[in-house]
Order: sequence, then structure tokens, then C-alpha cells
Amino acid sequence: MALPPVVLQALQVLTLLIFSPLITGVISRAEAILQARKGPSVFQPYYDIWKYLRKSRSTPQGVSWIYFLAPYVAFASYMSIAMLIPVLTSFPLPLGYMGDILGGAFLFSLAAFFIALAGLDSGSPYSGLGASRAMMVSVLAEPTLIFVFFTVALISKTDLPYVMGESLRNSWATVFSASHVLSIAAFFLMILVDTGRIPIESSSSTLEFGMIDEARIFEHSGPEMALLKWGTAMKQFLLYVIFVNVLVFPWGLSADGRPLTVFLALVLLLAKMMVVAAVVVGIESSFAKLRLLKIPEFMGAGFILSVLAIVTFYLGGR
Amino acid sequence: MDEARAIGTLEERVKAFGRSLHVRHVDAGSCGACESEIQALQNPYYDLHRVGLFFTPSPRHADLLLVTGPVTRAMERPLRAAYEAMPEPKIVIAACGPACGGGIYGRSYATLGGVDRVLPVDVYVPGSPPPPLSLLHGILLALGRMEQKIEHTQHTTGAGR
Amino acid sequence: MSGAAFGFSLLAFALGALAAALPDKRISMQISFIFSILGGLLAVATGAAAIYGGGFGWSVDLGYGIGRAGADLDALGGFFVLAAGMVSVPVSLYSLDHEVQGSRRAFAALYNLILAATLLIFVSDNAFAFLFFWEVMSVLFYSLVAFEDLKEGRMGAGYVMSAASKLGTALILAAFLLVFLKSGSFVFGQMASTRLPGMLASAAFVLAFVGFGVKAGMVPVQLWLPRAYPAAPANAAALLAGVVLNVAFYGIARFNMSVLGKGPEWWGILVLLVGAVSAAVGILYGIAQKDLGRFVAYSSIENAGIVLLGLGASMLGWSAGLKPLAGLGLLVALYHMLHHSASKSLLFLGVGAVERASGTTDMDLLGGLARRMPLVSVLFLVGAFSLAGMPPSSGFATEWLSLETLMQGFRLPSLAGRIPMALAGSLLALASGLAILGFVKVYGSVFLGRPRSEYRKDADKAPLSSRLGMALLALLAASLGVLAPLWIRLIGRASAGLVSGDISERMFGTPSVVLQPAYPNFSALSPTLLAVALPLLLLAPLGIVAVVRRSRGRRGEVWASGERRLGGTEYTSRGFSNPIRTVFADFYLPREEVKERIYTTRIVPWIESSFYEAAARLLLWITRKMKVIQSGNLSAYLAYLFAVLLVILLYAAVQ
Repeated sequence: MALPPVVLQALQVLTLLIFSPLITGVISRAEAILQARKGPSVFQPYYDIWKYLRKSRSTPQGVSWIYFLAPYVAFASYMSIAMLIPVLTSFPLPLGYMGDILGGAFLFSLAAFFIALAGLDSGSPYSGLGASRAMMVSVLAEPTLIFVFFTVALISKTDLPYVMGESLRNSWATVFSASHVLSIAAFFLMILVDTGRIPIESSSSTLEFGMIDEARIFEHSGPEMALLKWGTAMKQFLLYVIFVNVLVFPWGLSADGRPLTVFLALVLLLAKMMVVAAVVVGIESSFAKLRLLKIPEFMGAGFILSVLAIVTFYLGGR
Repeated sequence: MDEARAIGTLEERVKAFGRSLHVRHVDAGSCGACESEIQALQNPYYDLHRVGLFFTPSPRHADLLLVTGPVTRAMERPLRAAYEAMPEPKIVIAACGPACGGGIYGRSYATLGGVDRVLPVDVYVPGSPPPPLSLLHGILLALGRMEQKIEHTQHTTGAGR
Repeated sequence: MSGAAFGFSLLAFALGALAAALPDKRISMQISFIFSILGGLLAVATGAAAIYGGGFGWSVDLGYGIGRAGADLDALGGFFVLAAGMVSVPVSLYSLDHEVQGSRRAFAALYNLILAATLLIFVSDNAFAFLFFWEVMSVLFYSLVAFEDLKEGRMGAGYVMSAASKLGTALILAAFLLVFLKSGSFVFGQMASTRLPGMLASAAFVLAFVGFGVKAGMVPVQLWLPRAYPAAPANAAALLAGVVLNVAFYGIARFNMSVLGKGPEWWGILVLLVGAVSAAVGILYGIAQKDLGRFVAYSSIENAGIVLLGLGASMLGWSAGLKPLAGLGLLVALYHMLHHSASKSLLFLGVGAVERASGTTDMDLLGGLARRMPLVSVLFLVGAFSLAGMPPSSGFATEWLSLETLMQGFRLPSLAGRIPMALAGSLLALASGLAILGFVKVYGSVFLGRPRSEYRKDADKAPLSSRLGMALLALLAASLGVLAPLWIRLIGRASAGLVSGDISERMFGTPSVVLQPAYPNFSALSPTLLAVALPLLLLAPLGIVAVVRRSRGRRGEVWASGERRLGGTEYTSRGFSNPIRTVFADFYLPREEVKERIYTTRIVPWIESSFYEAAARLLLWITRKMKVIQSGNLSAYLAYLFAVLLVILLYAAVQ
């Protein structure tokens, strides 16, 4: 018996809410192990979020409503993205037509917009610094992301994440075509950028002046801090979902919506994410952080890859 | 400035933290020895992450204020500011001899002589510097995750003073 | 119906201009603006009637080889009239109590007249009348820009503007004459039915495109725009940027597309790339500004670029025979134009409110206004939010549609069309990313954080009419996003006659609140549903926090590493954009100098001066060469006259 679509959609959002901190936890644990540590528990992000939710807030004087609203808006926009992409099922669910992959990209910007405003609102020099840098990084990532979406749209003749996955499922040759591989590589670099990983940002650093994303939320505390931390994990989870379930390996999704296949899809999704996480851990452990103004060069590399992808497609037909 | 006062008993406060604790370290005029021991806490041998402890640069994210040094007059206000900026519930640990009671600096024109003259200290970690395991012990003691080993011992220096 | 409404609308503006002459200064100004509100409402009625009912035509024979000339309003013109009316009404409402330096009645009269001239451009059925009203509009434009030219450092903005405008008009005139050579008529309908030889048509196309581009503020002929808008009074700037600017796009649609018709591929590519470059360059320079008004003005260049992008894609699709793409591009361009009109007027009115409260528009001196003027800050945020393209606003819908249009590039038959589409897409992506950064910077440094200077005590006591005007515009801007399907139906109907049938029939998926850019199963978006879903989803985090939270908090000093806040430790607007300035240093080419131990760096937009400097050099070179014949000697001139007469006589004899 298939589950009703509304339930499936709710499950997609719940998957995001429940499992996103786990991926973050697994990555930190794996990195610690590579560094010959025992490392924090894989459930550490849950403990952190729970603690912050129950702590009081300590707010700087003179902030406006934007400071308080921003974490909630960011959280809601991440939740809405989960409705647009194939987290568990290979068929679109109710409200899945609210946006395509580009619409999703705009929703990511919505979160960034509000968090940056909140950073400026707090009046702290550190959060202003974080907001400024984070905006710069996301501006530079934008053209590459669009080129990747262009290429994938060219290959699959669509911009709808569900249909993109479908067209990949139908042809192995497409998965290994040069332009597809190049755009996947470019997208992966942008995932590193957008999730604040080495070589852009060291997520375990405690130096204020080396921070980007972390510095934006310097002045938030209590429940809002919990939401922001949770939101960071959700953003990473969503990007990984797009990467594995739309671009790289769209197999194993539930095609009929029966409880068993949905469960299998969830297990498989987490397994696929572990593979991505393993690659990220490898990169985090083997490279150093770039200087802030070297980041554009890294972005440039990503952009070149995406340009190559589109040129390869137009000239080679694939 | 209002007198800083902790709200609730230590047990009440640490109950909220669960298995997660973020530490803001403030150097209130330390000689630098404690800092190197605190650094050592982060290396793979002691690895404080495994017990759910993390250093954080922002006092707004911190639950524990780890103070080293005898609190020089110049650092008094920043120390209070850091404590003020931390959201409740919060705990304070005075780490190293000078932080516990002035140590060799004592109380002078330049130093206040101990963190507890400024902030409500919950746990004192003596030693100059305290080794990493002592620091860890102090923190876990505050969290109620370890037992106190020595209680009520009076230390006096110099006979007949 | 539309004809009568149009007539009454013009009458209202005329009465408005006359009312400014009434005895009492304040009353006469207010009566004048009440007439402009009335005229605006009638313009809305005209536009709606022209789109849904039908336009009107009226003409007389002017003789002298000019032929019949008159007024003709079709659905396309109706759309522009509608847009002008809709945006002008709230701006006029705002103007009722807005302080203007200088003669307020003269200002009110000019305000009414420029609205009338703008509407007359939209109904002119022939090039002659079009140019006449275009020039009237330009002169009025100049007087509005220069109205407060006593403002410090802003002298000359009107002068630069009028010089650029002259250049534009000259180019447009040249283009019209080229077509006239072949058609022998200035009536647009007859001009359109003549097929020009390729070279001639292309020359006319480029001339007119650059000519209209000057008014739109496209790169590289945008020199005047960032100077002019901030120099004008806030409500005049809102009117000029939101209402009058659209004549440029009307000109391109009417002449470059409707009269010249389907052209070769490179026309579309030219417009597309110029649009893409304008979008990126406009906002890049905008980000480097520290003056609020200037930033908002530069953002107009960016948005003009996006409109041109849509028009270019439309032309490209048209020349390739892809009707849906052609219709889609046009629809997106018009939709974006409407979005820009509403949001940009709102922002300029907001700039006026900020200036009223603080006496400055220097962003490094502002800050913390959100707590001082809560309503204005929220309304300004609506505009900024929408121009930054944030879901579910109108800017989000139009930027998404523009990108989707460009993504259809793969349907074009030739590589020459596909590559520019992809390139334009990436430039547009860069521009929209930069726009987000820009508006975060602007909103953050003007309204958020701590105040950096003293504000008027009654900062939040702006006149009711001005707040109402801004609120109306904010509502309009919000409706453009939330009610996207309705607006797309309207624009589809209005643009049906130009390149394809009513494209809006192909714009909706299932359910019909979902937008789908012309090609089914390619993409989907629903600002309407998002506008419902996002607030509902907001309940989830609010609920989680409400259930789990145990204690409230308290307020304290901001954390600055324990330092006492000495003021100025927070990020300034300049600091915020500094990473971008450094990354794009090769583009900005900042001029650095160290003088008396003070380091200064300035960004002088080389791209603004490059075109005009080259033009000026050319002109000077020509005049130097001409000096040889211009001796100043009377007998030499008599000799020239004699020579010319001789040539004419010889020519007559040979004939």
C-alpha cells in the first residue's frame, strides 16, 4: 500500500530535519579519526542544538526585528527546499512544483540574505565581517552554479530536479558523458564553498578573523543560535541530496511510495551521503585553508570547469 | 557595573548543558603557561572534543568561562564584559594558581588577585600551570561528570605568618 | 472607451499644471498633485481598456509630405500607459506633502507636464510626433533633474543629462530618417510595412538601439544616469526612474522590434550581450558607491540590463523562428520592467524619507534607522527584497523567468546564438548575486546596526500622504510577485501583437498558479504558493522554539572582544563591500594615492567616461579639421556660397 503523497512530502521534510545534524556529526567524527583522535560523538550536533534550544538568549542592545526573525526565515526556507527536490521519492510530491532547481537556488539566497542582514544588525564587528565575506563568496559561486544548472538542463532538457534524475536513470551513458562529469566536479567544488569546508573555511577554527560563515552568527545565542546551527546542517544536507539524488546517482529512490521502499530509499540516501562525506573528509584532512583573497582563484577553477562542461556539450554534443 | 552573580546552584545550571559544552577562554593577565596547557587540551592526546567540549570565540555561544591569570586591572572590564555577554546558564572556572587566588602576583596595584574578586567562580583548578588533565578534571567536575578528589584542604605558605 | 479615458487623463494633467498657478503656494501645489493622482488613475483605466477592450486611433493630415499623423493606442502602448499610471499614482500621493527646494508650484507643474508628455509618447502613431514628445519629455526631464541643483556637489548633473539626451535623440532621429528614406512616411504603421535592405535596416537598428539605450541607461552610454537621479528631488527621481525611464523600452519595442521587424540573428545577440554587460557592470559600480541615492540609481542600470536581456532573447528567438521563445523573452522583459518600476520608485521615495530624517544619503553616516522609522524601514525592505530577487517577491519571479528564458538557448539552431545565451545567463547570475550583496549592504548600513549620526527627533513622523504613497507602492510591488499569474496574463495579452500570439497561454502548468516558461516540462515555479508556504513553514521553527525553550533572555552590550564600544567598530558600508572591491580590482581600476601621509583610493568608473571621451575626441578632431575652412573671413564664406550655388545650378542644368 502506497503512502499518501502528503505524508511522503512530510517525510521528506522530516528526513531533512532529523538526519541533517547526523551528517555533520559523522563528518567531524571521521575527521577526528583520521587525525588519530577519538573525536566527538556522531550525535554531538544534536546535543549542541538541544543545549542551545534550552539556553536563554543574550542579545546585544539596539537590534531590530530582523536580528530575531532571520534564523527563523533561514530555517523555513531550507525546509521549503526539501519539498522541491527528490529526497526520498523519484516522483514529484504535492507542492513540489513550487520551484525547480533554480528556484531552490534562490531559496538558498533568501536564507543567506537574512542571515547577512542579521549579522549587520547585531552591530558587532565580527558578524559584519562574516556577513561581508559570506556574501562575497556566494556572489562568486553564483555564475558557476548557474552554468552547472545550464549544462545539466542541456543534457536532460529540463530544469525540474525530478525529471533531471529521471533522465539520468534512463541512460548510463549520460552519467559518464564528459560534460556531465565536468559539471558534477564544478558543483562539488561549490558544495565545498557553500558548506564552509576546507579550502574555503576551517569549520573547527576558533580564530575570529579567519571565519566566514561562522562569524555571521557571532552575536546570536540561545534558541536562535540553535536554529542557525541546525540550518547550517540542513543546508549541507540539501546540497548533498541535490548532488547525489539529482546529479550523480539518482538510483534507489522510492518509485511507488510504499513504506518499505521509502525506508530503503532513506537508508540508501544516508549511505550515498556517507560516500560524499568520506570524500569531503579526505579533502578536509589533506588540504590547508586558502587565504581569503585566494578564494576567487578557487572559484575561478570551479567556473572554468563549468564553462568547459557547457563548451564540451555544445561542441561534442554530449 | 552591577555585581556579577550566578543564577541558581551549579547543579541546576549544568543540567541544561547535557553532553555539549562550549568554552570561552579569557586570558586575564596570565603568564602564558596555562595557555600552552589549554592548547594541549586540543591535541589528539587529550582531545577534549571526545567528551563534548569545544572552544568557541564568541561568548554568546559559550556556557563556560575559563579564566586564566590573576585578573590585571586592565583585564577586569573585558572579563566582566565576557561574562555579561554569555547567556544564562553559565559557569566560571578559574584555571591556574593566579586565577584561583592571585598566586605569586598576589593582590597589587596591577592585579586584583583572583577571578573570584570579579566573577562568581564555580570551580577552582589550582596548579601553575595546571596540567591538561587537571583542567579537564576541573571542567568535568563542574559538569558533575567526575568526582571531586580532595576536599577542604587548607594550604598555608610560610610558617607562622 | 480608452480614447475618452485618455483624453480625460491628459485634461487632468493639464489642469494640474494650470492649478499650480493658483494664489496660495501650498494649496496650489496640493491641488496640482491631486490632479496628477486623478490623471494617473485615468491612465490606469486607459491602459486597462486598451489591453482588454481595445485601443483607439485618431489622425489628421498634416501635409508637407509628413502625411497623416495622430494618436494610436494598441495593447502594447496600453500596457506602458497602465504601468505609468499605476506607478505614478502613489508617487503623486507621496508628493502631496513632500518638501522641495525652490518653487514648489513650478515643480508641481513640471511634474504634471512630464506625465502628460510621457503618455503622449506612448500614443504617438508616427515618428514625428514621437520625437516631438520625446524632446518635450527630455526638456522636462532636465528641468526636474536640475530642480534642486543648489544641492552641494550636484551641480551639473542636469547638464550632463541633457547632453547625453541630445546625443540619444540625434541617434534616434537618424534611425527614423534612414527608414523614412525608404518608406516615405513617418507613420509607424507604414514604416513597418516597408522592407528595408539589410544594411540599412541594421544601421537603423543600431542607431535606434543606442539612442534608446542612452535613455535606458545601458552600458556604455549610461554616464548621465547615476548623476541625474540622485540630484533630483526624491519624488521626481521616483517618477523618472519608475515611469519615464520606460519610454526607452517602449521605443525599442515599438521601433526596433515592431517597425524594423524580424532581423538577423546578430541583432538579438547584440541586445542580449549589451543587456548582460549592463546588468553586471551597473551593479558592480553600484556596490562601490557610498551614497544611497547613487546606489539606487546604479541598480537601475542593472535592471535596464535585465530588461534588455529579455528583449534580446526575444529577438534572437524571433529570428530563429522560435515563437514561444520570442514571446517569452518579450513577456519577461515587460514583466521585469513593471517590477523595476514599482520597486525602484518605492526605493527612491524611501531615499527621500531617509534624507528627510537624517539630512544625508551618505551610507557611512547612516545606520540604525529601522528603530527610528519602523514603517519606512519595512516598506524600504519590501523594495530592497524585491530588487534583490528574494523569493517570493516580484524580482524573484522575473529574475527566475529571465534565467529560464536564457536556458532555452539550447533550442536555438546555431552555436552563435546558444553561446551568448549561456554567457548572458552567467553574467545575469553574477549580477543577481551582486544585487543581493548590494541590497544587504544598503539595508544593513542604512537601517540596521547602530546610528552613526544624529537624526531628526520626529524621524518617524513623516506626513501621512507620503507614508500612504510608499505603502501603496509596496503593495503593488508585493502583488507583482504574489499574484504573478494575474500579471503574466495581463502582460501576455498586452504583448500578443508584437512577435507571437498570446504567450501567457503557455505560461502555466498544473495547477495554474504554477509558472512554466513557455516550454512544458522544462521548469516550474510558483511565487504564489511560496508566498503561502514560506510563512506557514515559519511556524515550524517558531513552534520548536516555543515548545523547547526554557527561559527568556536579556540584553547587554554588543561583544567587541571586551572593548568598550567606541563607536565605528561595526562594519561600514565601505567595509562591507571591500572584499568585492578587492576581488574585482582589475575591473574597477581604483586610483590610489598617498598625499601628506593620507592614503586615499577612489573608484572612477572608466566605463562611464570611455564612450563619451572617445566621442568627444572624435568631435574635437573633426572640428580641428574643419578649422581649415572656417577661416572667419567674410569673403571666404561668400566664395563658399558662390561655389555651392554654382554646384546646384550645374546639377539642375544636367538634370
